[in-house]
Amino acid sequence: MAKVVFTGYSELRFTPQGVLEISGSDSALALLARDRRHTTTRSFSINNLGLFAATSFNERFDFLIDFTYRRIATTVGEMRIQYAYLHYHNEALWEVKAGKVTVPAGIYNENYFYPFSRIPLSPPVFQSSVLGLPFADLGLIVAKTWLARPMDLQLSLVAVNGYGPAQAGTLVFRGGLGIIDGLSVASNQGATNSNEEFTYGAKGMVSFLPRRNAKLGLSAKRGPWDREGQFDFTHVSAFGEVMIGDWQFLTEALGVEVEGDEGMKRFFGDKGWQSKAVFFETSTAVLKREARKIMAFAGAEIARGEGLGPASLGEEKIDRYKLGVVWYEGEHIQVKAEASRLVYSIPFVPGGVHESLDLNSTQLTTGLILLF
Amino acid sequence: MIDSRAQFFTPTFRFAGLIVVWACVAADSARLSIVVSGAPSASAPTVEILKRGLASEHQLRVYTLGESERFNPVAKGRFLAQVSTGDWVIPIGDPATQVIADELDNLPTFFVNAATLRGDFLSQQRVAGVLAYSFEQNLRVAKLLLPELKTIGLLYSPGYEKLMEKMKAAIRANGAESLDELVTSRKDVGPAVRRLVSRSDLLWIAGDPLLTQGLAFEYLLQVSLPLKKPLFSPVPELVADGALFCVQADPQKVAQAAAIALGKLLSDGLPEDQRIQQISGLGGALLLNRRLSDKWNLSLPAGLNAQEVGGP
Repeated sequence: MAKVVFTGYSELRFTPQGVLEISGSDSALALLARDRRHTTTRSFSINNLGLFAATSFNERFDFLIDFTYRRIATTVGEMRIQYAYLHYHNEALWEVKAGKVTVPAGIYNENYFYPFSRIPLSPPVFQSSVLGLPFADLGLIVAKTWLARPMDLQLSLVAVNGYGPAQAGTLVFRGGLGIIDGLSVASNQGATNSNEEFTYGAKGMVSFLPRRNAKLGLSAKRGPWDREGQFDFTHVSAFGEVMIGDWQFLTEALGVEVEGDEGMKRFFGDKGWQSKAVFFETSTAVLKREARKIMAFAGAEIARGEGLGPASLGEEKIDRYKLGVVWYEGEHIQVKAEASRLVYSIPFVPGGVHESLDLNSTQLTTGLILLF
Repeated sequence: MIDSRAQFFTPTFRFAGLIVVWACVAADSARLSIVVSGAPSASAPTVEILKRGLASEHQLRVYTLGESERFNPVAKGRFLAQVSTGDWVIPIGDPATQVIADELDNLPTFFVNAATLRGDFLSQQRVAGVLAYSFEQNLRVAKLLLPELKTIGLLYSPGYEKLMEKMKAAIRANGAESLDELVTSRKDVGPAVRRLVSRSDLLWIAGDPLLTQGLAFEYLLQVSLPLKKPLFSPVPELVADGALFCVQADPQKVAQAAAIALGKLLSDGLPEDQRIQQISGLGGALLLNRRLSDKWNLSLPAGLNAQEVGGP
């Protein structure tokens, strides 16, 4: 007897101390719509409240949907359907997903996007704040897993609508800086395709060691983002993960390249731009007793972006470091504390003068994640 | 005209006949969702015995409850949805049974080899199964360890009443007496334990998490151990935490009993007094808290082997 099973989670975030310092000219402040160079913040929000519904029609067909409310302070900042798809799977390990699917791009997006599934409190900045996690889109995924010795192989092929232009204009791809203004590229996705073309991608991953606790993989996707289907967005990732005893090591390098983006010309000096980012995270259990444990984690991330043409003004730089602890209290409660430092800079040209906008942010953040 | 009708109806009737035959067969067959946890090799013999023991028309599908299905709500929801496609859910062992009891209410469930069971789950008509322990085996060891044993205190929760009647009968058959206390909530634990400890030589703790987990069990130890009143329980993990011993039934015998009971349940149904079963006869694996048995100079007769567990 098929039934609909509801599960879910909530992530409550409290920042007892956050310090943000901006250096640059008055034009830089105006660009960010801010009037102060030094800001100290304390904040509380329900960062995520997610409800998952799953039902199985039979042994091979499931339907899964995720409703998530985000950034709930006094009102809901955003409500989104993060995935909603029909999932076919069989004994030969073929899978087909159709609907709004989580795109197989890199390792973080599919495996560590949710705050309960990753160990640190915050995800990598470039992926979450510039591109916008999760990478989820309308389309189709076909995947096959081969279980073999000495390693398993998984291959996924994807065709999705792809990104569209930002609300700021039909020729604007990156409508904001992301880190500062909260406008990520993910906002460009809608329920309909922005042009007549699809974005195609593939991901391959091998898992090895006796318990398959080491993974290596590559993914790539490419598709046009503008209305005419002329300008491509390309995203490639390489990743690795190793779990040895209580230690976990996770790394992902990704590169994106965008053509014809009017939005970033004032920063990069060119409509074509690229970014390369890499992050590394490690964690280990420091105390374990039955279903309770305390883990410590640390992470570092570097991203560099620049214009593709000879008129490039300089680099966008993201350097971020974080460390913290997580307390797992059984199956339903996670408490996380994280200290992080972000150093960010980007060139820009207000009125023909070459300037740089620099930002330093230090935060102590705690999170309570409840699973149900 | 007749020929053309015959050409139309003959294959149609044949097809309809096939549908009816299929429906009759399908009505007798059941889809069984077997849920296992931990390493597949640990539960493989039990699954194999169930497969062999059940009629071939039943469709068995095995689902493995891993870390991801317990700690990740996305994976958990998908797992439970898939499990619930079965007409009967058959969890094997404690972790699988606890997840099914907590998450899939209203589904017919037949547990196999479980000891940690909420009383309200056990009492439901849709729940049947074979326990991971037998009173007979546990009482035999109790008598061997404590030859002067006269009175056994029984601490249990609502839902365990019928099992406690069987336990009392087994105690009487072993020449001892029983006292019992029903605990309906955590706040009842203190008074109930104090009443039982003062009048009993040994305490049996039913396998309800209300009694075996958290502060309730710690309080039980605090009250009973200073008075040299040992505890015994069907939950093996409690031996490391301070219970004196636990006898686990042979999993193969439990699986054989489960295959017979499940077959009967699927064909004719089980009478109420056979809904929750234990295996009979001796045997099983004995877990003994060596620290307590040494401290109290309790020894096992020669020839009786125990797996020794350290405890507080």
